[in-house]
Amino acid sequence: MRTPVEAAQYALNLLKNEKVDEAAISASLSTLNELTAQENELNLLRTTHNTTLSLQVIKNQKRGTLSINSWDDEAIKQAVNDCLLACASSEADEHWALSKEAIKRKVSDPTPLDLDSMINRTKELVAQISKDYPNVHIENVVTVHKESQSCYLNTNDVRFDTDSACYDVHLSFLGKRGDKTSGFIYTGTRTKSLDTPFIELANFRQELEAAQKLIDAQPMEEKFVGTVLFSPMCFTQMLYSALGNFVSDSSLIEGISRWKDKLGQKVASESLTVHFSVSDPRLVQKEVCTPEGFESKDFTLIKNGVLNSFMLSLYAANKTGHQRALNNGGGLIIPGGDTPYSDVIKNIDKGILVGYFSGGQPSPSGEFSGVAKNSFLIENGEIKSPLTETMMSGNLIDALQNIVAISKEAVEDGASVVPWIAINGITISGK
Amino acid sequence: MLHDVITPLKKQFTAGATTELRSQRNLNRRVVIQGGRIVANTRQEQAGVNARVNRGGVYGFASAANLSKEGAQQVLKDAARNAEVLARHQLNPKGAMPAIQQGLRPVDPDMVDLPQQYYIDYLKELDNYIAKKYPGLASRTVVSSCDSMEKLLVTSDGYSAHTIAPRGYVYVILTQNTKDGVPVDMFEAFGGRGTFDKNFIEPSTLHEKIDQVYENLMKKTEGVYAEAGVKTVILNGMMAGMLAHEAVGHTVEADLVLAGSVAGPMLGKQVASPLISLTDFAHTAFGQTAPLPVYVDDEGVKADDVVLIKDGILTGYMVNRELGEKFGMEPKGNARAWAFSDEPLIRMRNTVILPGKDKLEDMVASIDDGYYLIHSGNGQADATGEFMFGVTMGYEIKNGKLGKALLDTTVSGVAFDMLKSVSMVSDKMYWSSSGFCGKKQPMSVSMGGPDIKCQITIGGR
Repeated sequence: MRTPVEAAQYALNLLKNEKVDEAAISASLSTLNELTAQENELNLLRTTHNTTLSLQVIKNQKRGTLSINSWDDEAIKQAVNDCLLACASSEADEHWALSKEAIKRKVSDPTPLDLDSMINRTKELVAQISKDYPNVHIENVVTVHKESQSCYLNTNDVRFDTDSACYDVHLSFLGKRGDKTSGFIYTGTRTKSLDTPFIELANFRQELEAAQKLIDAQPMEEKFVGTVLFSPMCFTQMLYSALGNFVSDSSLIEGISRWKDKLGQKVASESLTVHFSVSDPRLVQKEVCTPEGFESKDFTLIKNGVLNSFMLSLYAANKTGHQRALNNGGGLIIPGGDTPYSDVIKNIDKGILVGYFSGGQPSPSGEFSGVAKNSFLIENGEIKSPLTETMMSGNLIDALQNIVAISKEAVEDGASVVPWIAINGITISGK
Repeated sequence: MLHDVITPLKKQFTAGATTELRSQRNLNRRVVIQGGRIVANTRQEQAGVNARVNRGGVYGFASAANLSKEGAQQVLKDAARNAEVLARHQLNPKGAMPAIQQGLRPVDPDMVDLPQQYYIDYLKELDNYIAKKYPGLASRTVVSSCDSMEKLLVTSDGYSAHTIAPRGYVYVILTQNTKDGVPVDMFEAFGGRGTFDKNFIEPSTLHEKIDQVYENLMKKTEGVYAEAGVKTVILNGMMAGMLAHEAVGHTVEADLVLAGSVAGPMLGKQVASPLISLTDFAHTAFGQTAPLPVYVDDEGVKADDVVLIKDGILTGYMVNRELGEKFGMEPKGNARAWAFSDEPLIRMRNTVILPGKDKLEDMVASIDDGYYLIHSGNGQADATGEFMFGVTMGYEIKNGKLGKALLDTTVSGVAFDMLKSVSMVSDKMYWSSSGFCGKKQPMSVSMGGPDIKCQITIGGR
């Protein structure tokens, strides 16, 4: 069996012989062990082995990409040939390019599989949920150990070798008492270690507690403009919708982003800072390089409410004349504020706490409208009744400007660090 | 086409266990032209072999990116080992699964894997048409896509099959600014079952449809916000299909019933207006091949239709072999896996509300103040049947006539409550098959239905 670097080098040599302008190869070898518990019992143990090989080719300013999952000589030769044909079929665009910053870097961050401990921690989680949260019904618990070795090479002497592994824990459950149920809650976290019982990770306990309360959710009859306290998961959802519409490649190349002229200007409340990190110690499995072959580095998208950067690939950066993003969207880090979570709630006269947003994909205008799932009414600084069939609507552009509080506490799930965020001026409507 | 190295290995299956051995290949070809520039031009292929072994009620699964005989032997061994590992932790071992029908589904015709040039040429011509005819657009994106799934399945006690299922689509997304400079967009998908070249021969055949997309977009630029609240609406058949899939279909998947979905206590009870019947078709619907036919599922079960709601009464769930036994229902081919590395999950196939007898024009005429909701961007629902659909195209209905176009909005409700409010069902059937359903793995699914008149909560502003 080849190593990732051997597979990548073999493909790259074939492409070099074809006198391409530039080419990049990414090869990875992965093994996944996944355990599923269903109805409180272990039900499935799944082991998958995979190899992948991805090719990017630029020739005569035309670009083609291809991926396969075989490292056989014949398969790679065929892939190189097909990719060149795809490339030749395309149209010239001078803005396609790869990193020319020669580098050779190796990142090793292994976590050996401890299957017995993974099984025991999973059984323990299921048992603890049954004991501590008797009105929680588990759909399933999925725990995963994934290890991969990969190699990235491009024709400009760029080489990254990585060797990493971690555990993921996914939980889906609902509150259930008799025939009454809450909606499903999906949550998860990523970790390098099995030292801590899974139930103590991320904010699992808080969400399990919420599921029990949400069994008694009732519709609200009124409609008002109030404050929405976004859970970390919900704010992340909304933020990524905003980023897709306002700072992404397509929105800026096409010129339809409403932030296209906002670099260096205030686009959010001064309390909001948004980092995309590849170095924060709270992140597990950090990004190493971008698809163009640049070493990934931290960058700050929004600093104290001011738009500091777009999130552009090298192609989009060349196309628009802006700077490329320093990473490919690494780990989202939003620094917490000065207000404890309990005080954030105390300061809300009327609004709702929202677990996640189930809504239509916001349009380029930023308008959003959807169901406030797993939500609770907040009145006079206190969390009151759980709600169902409650909708919220507004505009992402306005919402980011209307942040009134950011909690001190944040949820760390291995892939992001995000606090609770309160936003004024959102239309909340009941049945 | 996949070379069959797995059938001879059937004799190596573990005695006393239920075993499935599957080799599989997924292809995806995609081109995106945005504003006249090719921004994506990609070909993807993944192939491999997997085995799943059930012993005493627990499953071991293993897969490898290796289509050789040795690869297949190894995954058989690994899957059996994984089942044994889990069995050691099992509190209540179960007996063998009930028997299912055995047989062989012969191989489907092989498909043509088109060169990338075909997708690019077709799309460039389409893009040129849009650019020339509608130069004032704020943005235009056209996408050509073809995905296909080839599976070779051998089972210990069910059907064996060799299936090849391609589908090809063109997506068009047009954007224009309102007079206030706010961008609005319109999306449309064309295509269906079959390879791209079968669905798209001559780009000019799409011109009229693209003109319609543009016309709808222009109306939307003059659009108004819907008024929030509970309204009488007509859901177009595409949205009725979304309702069938998201809000009802998922709640009657047996794994979600087991997890506590709202459908659990409702079997045999009235959950919808008597005008509503809902079926998950396997491969043939209304006398024709369904948009995405399934003949044998990945547990080797010969596929058949599942009647979920009949005249408003909840009549069944979609099950796999394991949960069919638990719920006392016959498995009918809903266990499907997306990639070679995926285990079969309970999935929908062609899920539709059946058409009624009303005429759409009579339905519109019957509403004084409401909405006709035509296109949905996306949809979600949960175990309670509470659903949400994004609405990307719709019209006001005022005094029995269509009025102004709507800006993007959302509708929501609780499926079994909302379906009881259905008072008219049109005789026209609409299908959609371009989407993916996400449930741990993606899956190609189709959905559809007629226009239905009902009460629903609309988001507005």
